[in-house]
Amino acid sequence: MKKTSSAADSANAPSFKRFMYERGPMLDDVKHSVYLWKKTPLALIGTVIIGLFLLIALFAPLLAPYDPIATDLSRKLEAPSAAHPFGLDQFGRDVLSRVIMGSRIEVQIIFIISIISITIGLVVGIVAGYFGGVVDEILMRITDIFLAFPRLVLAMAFAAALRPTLANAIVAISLVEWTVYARLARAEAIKVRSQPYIEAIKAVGASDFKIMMFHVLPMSISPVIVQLTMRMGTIILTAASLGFLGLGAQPPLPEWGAIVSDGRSYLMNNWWITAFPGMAIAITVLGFNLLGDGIRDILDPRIRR
Amino acid sequence: MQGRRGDLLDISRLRVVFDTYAGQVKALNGVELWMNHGERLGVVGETGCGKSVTALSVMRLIEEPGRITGGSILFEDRDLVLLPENVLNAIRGKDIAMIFQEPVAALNPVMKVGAQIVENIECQRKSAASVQAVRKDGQASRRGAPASGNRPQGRVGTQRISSIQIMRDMLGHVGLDWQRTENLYPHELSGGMAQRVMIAMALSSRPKLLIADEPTSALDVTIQAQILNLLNSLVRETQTAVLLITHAMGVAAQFCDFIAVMYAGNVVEYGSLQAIFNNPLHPYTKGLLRAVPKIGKTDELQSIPGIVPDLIAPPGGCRFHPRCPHRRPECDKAQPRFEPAGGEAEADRHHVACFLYQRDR
Amino acid sequence: MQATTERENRDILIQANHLKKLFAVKKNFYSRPLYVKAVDDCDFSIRKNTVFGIVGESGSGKTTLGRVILRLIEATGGAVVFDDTDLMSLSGQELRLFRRRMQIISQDPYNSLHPRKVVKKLIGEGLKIHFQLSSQEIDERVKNILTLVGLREEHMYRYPHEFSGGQRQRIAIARALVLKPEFIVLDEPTSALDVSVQAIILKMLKELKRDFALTYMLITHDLAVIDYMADDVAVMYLGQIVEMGSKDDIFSRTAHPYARLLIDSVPPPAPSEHWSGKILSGEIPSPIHVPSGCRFHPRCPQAKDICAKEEPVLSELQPGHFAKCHFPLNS
Repeated sequence: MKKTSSAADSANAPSFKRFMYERGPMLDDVKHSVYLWKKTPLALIGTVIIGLFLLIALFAPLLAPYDPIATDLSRKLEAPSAAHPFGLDQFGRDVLSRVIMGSRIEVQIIFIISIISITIGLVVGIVAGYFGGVVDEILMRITDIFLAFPRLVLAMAFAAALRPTLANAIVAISLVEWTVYARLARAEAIKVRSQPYIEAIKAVGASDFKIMMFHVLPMSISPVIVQLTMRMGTIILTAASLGFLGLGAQPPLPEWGAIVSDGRSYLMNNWWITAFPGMAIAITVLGFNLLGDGIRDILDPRIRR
Repeated sequence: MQGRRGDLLDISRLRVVFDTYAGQVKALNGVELWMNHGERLGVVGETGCGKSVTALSVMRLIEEPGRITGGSILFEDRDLVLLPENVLNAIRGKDIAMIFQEPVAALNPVMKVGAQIVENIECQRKSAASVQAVRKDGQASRRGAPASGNRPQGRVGTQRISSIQIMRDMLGHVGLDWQRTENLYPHELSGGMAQRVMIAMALSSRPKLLIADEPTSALDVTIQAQILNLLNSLVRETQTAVLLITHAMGVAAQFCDFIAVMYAGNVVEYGSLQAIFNNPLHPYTKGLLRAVPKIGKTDELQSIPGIVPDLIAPPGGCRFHPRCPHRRPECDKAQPRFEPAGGEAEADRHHVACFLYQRDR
Repeated sequence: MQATTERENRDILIQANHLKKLFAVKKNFYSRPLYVKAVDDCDFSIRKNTVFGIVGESGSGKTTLGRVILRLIEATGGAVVFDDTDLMSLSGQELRLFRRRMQIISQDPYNSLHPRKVVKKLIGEGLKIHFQLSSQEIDERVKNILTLVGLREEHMYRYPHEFSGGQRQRIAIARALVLKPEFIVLDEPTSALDVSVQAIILKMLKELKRDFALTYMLITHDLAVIDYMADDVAVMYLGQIVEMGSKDDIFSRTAHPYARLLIDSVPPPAPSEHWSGKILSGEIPSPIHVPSGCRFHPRCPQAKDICAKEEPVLSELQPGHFAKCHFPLNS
């Protein structure tokens, strides 16, 4: 046990020091997680990949050498060269710049879908798991209904009913994605609600809302986060598939799936249009999968303690 | 090298460590205890004292990351610490049997109870038969075909039936209705019934030593009484010695002849029931006895100040010294020797490890 | 235990009448439900500043009773009157606020504290709900209560897993006490603890009761603990109270055969006392299909014909001493 300054000192110390002292055990928890993370190769590789991905997305305008939508029909379908490492597509646009800017779109897609689906999923799952009985039945049947929709078919239906846009594609994916988290959250909530510490808090007089929000939720959230990270790859693939089918991002948006689709007809002779965005998708999905595996290992209580 | 103290079991200077990522847990720090055939020794102590580890060591069931790092466990005349695995396998379950605290967990959950017991019986018969076959062959080759050996299938057939009969007798012997019980799955048994099944299986080979690790801690009081009563009569019948691990002083007091009190990896006091309860010497033993509530007790409960030590970094010298009301300067320098306490009958076997009673050489 | 004078009336904190709790069990969606009679028609009163002990084995319903009393489980029938307030009539919000006056300490020290919250939050939570205090005041009260239970200020910032079982029970006690309750249900508070730790906790509970004028309901299977702590005792079997009285009544003038066998089954921690060795045979019957007449009759050494046919009434043998038996011992 490392030496810490005495409680009396810290009570009178400047507020930051006191703040840190009070957070001591929580910081230890974080430090321990970091330690385990450093020891888990999968998590490290995954983090590196995703880190690169996020950095590229963040600095995309600075990194992209050319304007991703500027066309130059005189130079269409040029092979990769020193000036254009990823070559040019059928409109003379620099594929490298398109891929780099596309990473931003991917990040937006992932971010929005995650927020929407986790929020809905956690609310439905925890309420269902905590109350049980009729509430649980109703909520789970609703979940079943949404789960029954194949994602792509739902997106196509959306596109047919409304205009095919990226926003609609995002909504379509979120509408099915939340069900996964709802089931997970419900399973955790059921485990947690019968624990003695929940009964103890009820005995103290906490309201159901408080209990669900501050006691059940923190215990239910980690498997959901892990599942999210593991599903991130699938989400990207789905968005890319929709883009590929023309149901998601519309031209000239450089969404990776759309770019892959662009290069379809030119695959035999001008492979670079499809190959590079395809590789970007593959590497990013791989990165998320590795990160998800790594996080799951880190949070595994047997390794942790 | 001291003379043999117990003709059945003699544990001397036993040390066991567990290598965990948090550090090395020095679980047993030179345990000393012994028993003779047919005796009942109760090992009492609180959480972390090492009583279960001691029991598992006798069965050589300590696994990674734990290992025996010193001492000897003499079972009759063999040192169990030195024996190879195949010899140990012959001893486990036959000469030394063990029952545990959670009997339902020790049974195979997907096999009916009757079938499990039969399996146990047949296992034992096979190993007994193989020993016998070697002997019989030797005789047969001298006298011609043995009288009962001309129908090998038939013999297997009758053996199977009689295994089932033995199983039914066993269940009846431990107070269970075989008709009802043999077709149940372990999770359908109550705690008391499951423990009876375990006792039946453990004693079926008429072992010389039965190790019972908290056999009644998970049971209701009235069921505990039934099980202790049953155990009492059965071990008398099979003349089995019992090493009873428990944290319940009442159980130890009513069932055992001798007591070993353990604290933080050592036996701090050992002696007959009378000696330990009527004349406790070690400060920990005294503290423990004063803390036990008893129906009809009029004195106030006394507690022992402090908490059990961390076995990764235990206190130096006597491990009890930080909590001891009679602490002396020498207590943190060296471990006290485990020695006979003077002034009592030989038969009491009263030994204690404490500087208060060290005889200066 | 039924109050007969005005003075005694004022002394009673909890009055429980005909408490009943049934759990429905269904084999499948279509079958008719069967009922586990966890608590069946229990009547008792608890006087202020006393310890009311409830003794029983598995299936006796004592744990359920402890929770029904606090309305942590809703009773199927019956009433609980807490100092002139009918608990069953309180609405959700009223009940939550009323909880300040009645707390529970449960059996499992390893699971009764939220694993992801530091001690300060665990104890402070109740304060936030029931009192309007500044965060400094909350800190002060938490510090004080921790000192009272024998812990230190720096423990405020630690997580439950950093403490031993005994320390965790102290934290649970602190959490209950900081609300200044009048009544605490102690559900096997020391069963999971070592003997020496148990002694510390029991002594502390006794002192706290004296210093803060508390009333306890002590639920346990350990008769020695009952002898040490309780003033009045109720013995439960299969959901019913089979004997009830002062501690002396129960131990020295035992009337119900089950209570007698229960006491006799406890192995005394002393070699000189010979264990009487009277064993109660058989197993506890299913609480769904309870035996007819007196529920104990199949295992009772003195059962007669009438015991299987007619259920005995809990009758008063001596003032304050009740037994539910056709042929009570010592009568």
